[in-house]
Amino acid sequence: MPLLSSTTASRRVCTNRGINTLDPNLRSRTDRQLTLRVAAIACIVSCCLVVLDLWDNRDLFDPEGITFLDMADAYRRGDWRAALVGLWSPLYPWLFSLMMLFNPSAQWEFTAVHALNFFIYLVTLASFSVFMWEFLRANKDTASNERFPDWSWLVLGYSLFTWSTIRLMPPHLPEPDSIVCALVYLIFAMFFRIRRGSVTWGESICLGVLLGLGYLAKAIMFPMAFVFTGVTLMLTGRSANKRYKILVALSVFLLLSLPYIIVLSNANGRWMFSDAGRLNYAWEINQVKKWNHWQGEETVHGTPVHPTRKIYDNPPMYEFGTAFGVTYPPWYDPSYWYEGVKMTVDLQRQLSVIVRNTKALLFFLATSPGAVTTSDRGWYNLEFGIDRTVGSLLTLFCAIVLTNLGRVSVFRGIAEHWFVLVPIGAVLGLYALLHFEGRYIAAYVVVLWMVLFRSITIPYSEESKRIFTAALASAALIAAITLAAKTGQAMVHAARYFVIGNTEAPFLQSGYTNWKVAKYLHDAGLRAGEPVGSAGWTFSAYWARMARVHVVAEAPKRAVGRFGHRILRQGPS
Amino acid sequence: MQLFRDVGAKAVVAASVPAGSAPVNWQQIGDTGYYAHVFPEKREQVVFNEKNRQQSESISVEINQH
Repeated sequence: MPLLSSTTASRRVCTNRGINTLDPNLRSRTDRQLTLRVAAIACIVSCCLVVLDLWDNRDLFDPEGITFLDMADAYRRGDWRAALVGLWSPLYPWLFSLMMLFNPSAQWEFTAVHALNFFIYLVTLASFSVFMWEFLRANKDTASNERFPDWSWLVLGYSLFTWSTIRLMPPHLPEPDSIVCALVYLIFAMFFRIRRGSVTWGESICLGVLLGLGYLAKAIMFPMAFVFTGVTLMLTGRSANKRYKILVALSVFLLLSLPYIIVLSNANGRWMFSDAGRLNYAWEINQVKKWNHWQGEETVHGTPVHPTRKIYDNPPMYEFGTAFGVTYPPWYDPSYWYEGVKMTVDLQRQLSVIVRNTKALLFFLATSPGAVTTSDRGWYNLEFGIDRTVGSLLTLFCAIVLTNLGRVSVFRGIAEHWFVLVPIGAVLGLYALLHFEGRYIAAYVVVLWMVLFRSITIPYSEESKRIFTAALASAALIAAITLAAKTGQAMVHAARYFVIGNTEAPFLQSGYTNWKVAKYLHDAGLRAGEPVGSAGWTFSAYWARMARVHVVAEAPKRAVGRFGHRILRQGPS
Repeated sequence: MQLFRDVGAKAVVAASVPAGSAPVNWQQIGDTGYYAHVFPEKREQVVFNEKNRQQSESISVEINQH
């Protein structure tokens, strides 16, 4: 059903908002100013929301953060054997090492990490802006009356970007995913450039650097680098000159990644680009005891070469102080503790994992951007806590598809963006094989929604253009409002605490709760490097990092919970 | 607890202990939800054990006398 006849539309186009459409220069200048203004406002709003979210969650951290800080220590003292860990990639710990040049005290270390995360967020925002620039330039290929105003894409893009940053990879989490996002946005921006026929030597070297840094930030980017290179080769067509340039990109990527692969393999005694796939396969497919204290319970999965030492059976207690002088050894280098694990092919389990992950991903996409009440935790881990409703993005997408039915070939529109969709499909497929979380796919989800909307929205008249623009803006607004409402709630809670005089938590210090524990231990006479025990969920023993002590034994949380705090009730001897 | 001590731990920190469920000789660390017990230094422990031994001996003597 046509939204408005083309004659009516052409009548209205001349009087639209008082701008004389017969003066293209004036209109172009006005559009450019509007675009810049919207982009600037969107960036400022995004920064404000991220800062507020970071401040609100400044007491929170992540177990990997402890590991990355310990790895950074190892790099700084030149202890390569300890630093070259199979499961964790090195780029983020290297940034931690640089951060430590500012000598943050133990009390302010977590704040420094959060500040670094905010800096990385700013870099990601800049990368996303580059992507948006190329995205809009690609739009310019379309005749001006057949495309949507740039400001509507900007509003949609920056809303989705901010939503993905806060909901999928919250900036308080010390994880390298934000770096990967920054690189992925730049790679996609480059794809749009290459599609327009532009590949200079500088750009090909830049692509290689992005792919190399991607691998050093997160291991999944190693196989993905070949997917990205393959797509680039297909984009360049049959021009031999352009293909040489892509080969240069591949060479630069290998030049950056191979040295690390060699030293990592040398340190671990076998060829590997990462141990993440092997360990996740053992945990997810072979269902070997997850994360720590694998004792070789089922011999079919092998016998641990050097397991943690079980010192008590009921409730279970483990000792692990001898292997590494770090905060919490079991999560520092899982490859060490899981040495000896045998992986077996289990097609049935593999299929069930793929089905589970695909289901979680589809639910996630269908419910995006989620309700205001959706917990961040639910979005962080896609498997749990997702509302079984249809989200606004899918609703608006379907509405536009149905409105355009019979006029736009949805599939043709989507197929035109194959160069973006192939890498997105590849990365989602790779993660679906084993395990994925929201933060792994944040950038891909943003780009996916952008190209999906771009594929289906083609205006026919000024009226339909306005309606579809309103639909895009609505999608953006809903995504932004879900964030703003959540942040607003947090602000109200914080204000209430201040009003009732509960201002003990410092205004800027991160991890204050854990700092109190660390301070208690220091006041009790414990010094850096001294061994301590832990009862409970030691993964989040951030106090241990702040106190610079080493956890050498633990009674895990499940043991403490199940046996009614038996260990504690026995009392000190 | 002795096991923690045997492996060299100078202190034990416990997380998420419900209020009132921890024994009195554990110190609650402010409002953090954490509890801690710091083991006495080895030298103090020897004195502590010696006192205990003397006390036990005197109690045994008393019991025997009765």
